[in-house]
Amino acid sequence: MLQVEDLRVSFRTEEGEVKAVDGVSFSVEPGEILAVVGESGSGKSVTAMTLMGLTRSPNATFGGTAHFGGTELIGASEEQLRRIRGPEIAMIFQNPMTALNPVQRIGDQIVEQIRAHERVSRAAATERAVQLLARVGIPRPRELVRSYAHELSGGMRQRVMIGLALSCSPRLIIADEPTTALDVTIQAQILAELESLRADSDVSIILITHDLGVVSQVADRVLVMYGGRVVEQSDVDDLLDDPQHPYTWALLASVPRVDGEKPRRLASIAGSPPSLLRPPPGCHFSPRCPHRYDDCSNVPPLAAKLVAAPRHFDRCWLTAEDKLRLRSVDFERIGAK
Amino acid sequence: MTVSRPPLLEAKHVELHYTVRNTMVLDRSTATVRAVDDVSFTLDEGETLGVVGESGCGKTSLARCLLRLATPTAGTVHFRGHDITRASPRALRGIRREVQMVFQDPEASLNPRKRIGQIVGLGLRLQGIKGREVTDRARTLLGQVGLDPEHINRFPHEFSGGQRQRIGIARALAVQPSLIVLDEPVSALDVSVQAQVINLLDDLKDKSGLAYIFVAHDLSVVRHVSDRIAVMYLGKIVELTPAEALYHKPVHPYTAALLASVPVRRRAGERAGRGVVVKGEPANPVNVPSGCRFHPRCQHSTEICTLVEPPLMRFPGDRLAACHHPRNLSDSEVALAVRSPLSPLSTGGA
Repeated sequence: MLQVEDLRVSFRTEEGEVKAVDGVSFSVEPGEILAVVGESGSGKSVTAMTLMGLTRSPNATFGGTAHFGGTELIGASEEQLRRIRGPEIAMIFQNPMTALNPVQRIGDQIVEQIRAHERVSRAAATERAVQLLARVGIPRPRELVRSYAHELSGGMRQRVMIGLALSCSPRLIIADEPTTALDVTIQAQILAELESLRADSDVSIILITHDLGVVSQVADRVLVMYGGRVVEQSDVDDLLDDPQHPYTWALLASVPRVDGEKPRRLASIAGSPPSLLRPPPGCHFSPRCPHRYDDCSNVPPLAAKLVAAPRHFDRCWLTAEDKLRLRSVDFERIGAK
Repeated sequence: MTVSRPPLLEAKHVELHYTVRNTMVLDRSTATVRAVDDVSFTLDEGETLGVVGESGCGKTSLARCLLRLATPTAGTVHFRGHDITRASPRALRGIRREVQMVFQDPEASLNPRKRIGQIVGLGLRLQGIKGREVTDRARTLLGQVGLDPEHINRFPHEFSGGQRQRIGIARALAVQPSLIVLDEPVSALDVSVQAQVINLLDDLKDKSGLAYIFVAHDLSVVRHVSDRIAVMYLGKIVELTPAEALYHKPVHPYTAALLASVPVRRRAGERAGRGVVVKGEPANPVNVPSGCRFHPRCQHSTEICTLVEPPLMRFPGDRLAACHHPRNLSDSEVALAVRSPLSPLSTGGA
């Protein structure tokens, strides 16, 4: 449904060129939840925003292609994008307080979006807004459709954002850290909302997150990004059971958990993520990788190396056998798994 | 273990209420936000207490009361036997040498126009240390928190988020405190860097016998550093339990809900919404529910929960919880429960 090939986004800054997204390729199938996981500065948000044409600026340059249905998104005209945003691809932002209009009733915002794309009466659109709010779990929707964003709690606002995203029945929803600003009990409710959405319709979701816990709960497939590149891509179970990239396994080990026995020590990754202004040569993770060797000064290709999992790709020079050995040594050292 | 030693810090029935004015122009009525509502606990030398709860539960307000960055509207905080809630500014200065704070946002809590040597050294200067010794001590401190002492003349913006939080920790350590209050010290950090800072805090504690109060919004990060954990809900402590017991056998339904809400791997064929164990949202602290404050969201609530505020009961294993229907306890354990002296005054006499 969505096919992204070799997407590149760079920004000219006073200090030089920042390659925020450096050759990212992936596809999204109908009805699947694809998680894009990475730390700050990994390029996950820029990737998603670029698909919606939201990173355009005089300082930005783009490369690669993104086919959605019959349309090419990169380089699409504003007019084309306007027809796509809403009825085809909708977006849910991290902070609903800044994404919702503070001086317009939430119902009116939904009505406005519906009527921008469809010829329906105001009354019919309002009725649909009420139905949408009810569907995303807003209590007393007929009453709250007249409220303003500031009158609602953070969790309720995020439900409104989801309702707004659903209002023109899109085929793809891009959710950028939709639960990061929420408390953990509310996060659980919103994640359940996204899951039931996918179960009831065949809408696809690109879920951008830094939280591997969220990924493991709701995603079907995962893209792990680091320093503007995809370092690993696979089905969620393969990724959790058999992570192939040293960054992924370090990331998995550094997540503090509430279940099971407490490990002696949390695994951490030495150093910090690379500056995309002056990225390290070769593999971007190599300066922090305990297993780097000479080959790592060249960029490894994103390739499938496991016979049993042809859809499991990673960007590392190590052989599958070496990884298996090194990973068990790493996990042993920190007492994980 | 000695019994007679007085606790390092003792909070007794601490209450912090704010008066808020109605926002309507002609309406002069006021309301009271009960941010912290009768909270008591003790902390021993070298101990780490995790304080956990969702936004609005009063955890940061409580942390601020402990340093008297906010003055409690009722109750007392004693540090080594000295009442800091009524201490003079001069006396407070002496106490703050012993009690330091690390803030959530390293961006906002470091002066952007000062070099990190000055930031870390300020506390030392205030103690009357001068010249070369300040620089030498600052270098040592930077080394202790894993920064390069050669970077002493750099500005905060030249460091990453994780490094800035280390600067904040070095600043707190400079005056050799016996207690550091950490308010969400790793929430702003990426997970790989978060682990570095947690491990650093762990190491510092092992080396110097520091005590911590570690405030966080979720239970996963406090697990690695805490000896005991206090769970707060709408201004009250609902559970106060030795750390590992809390993760394996939570007593209060709210603690259980917090644990179950942490997203974990979905198993094949599992239906959506597995993680949803509590419905609804916390009530407004202006208008708290009657009885047990958690009752409107609690799946175990009965009539008594709506009428009577449960006292904080002490169960075997030093587990404290305020609940009419405690979980994960045998009948004999429930029978052995006694009312804790830390229980709020509003729950009646002992």
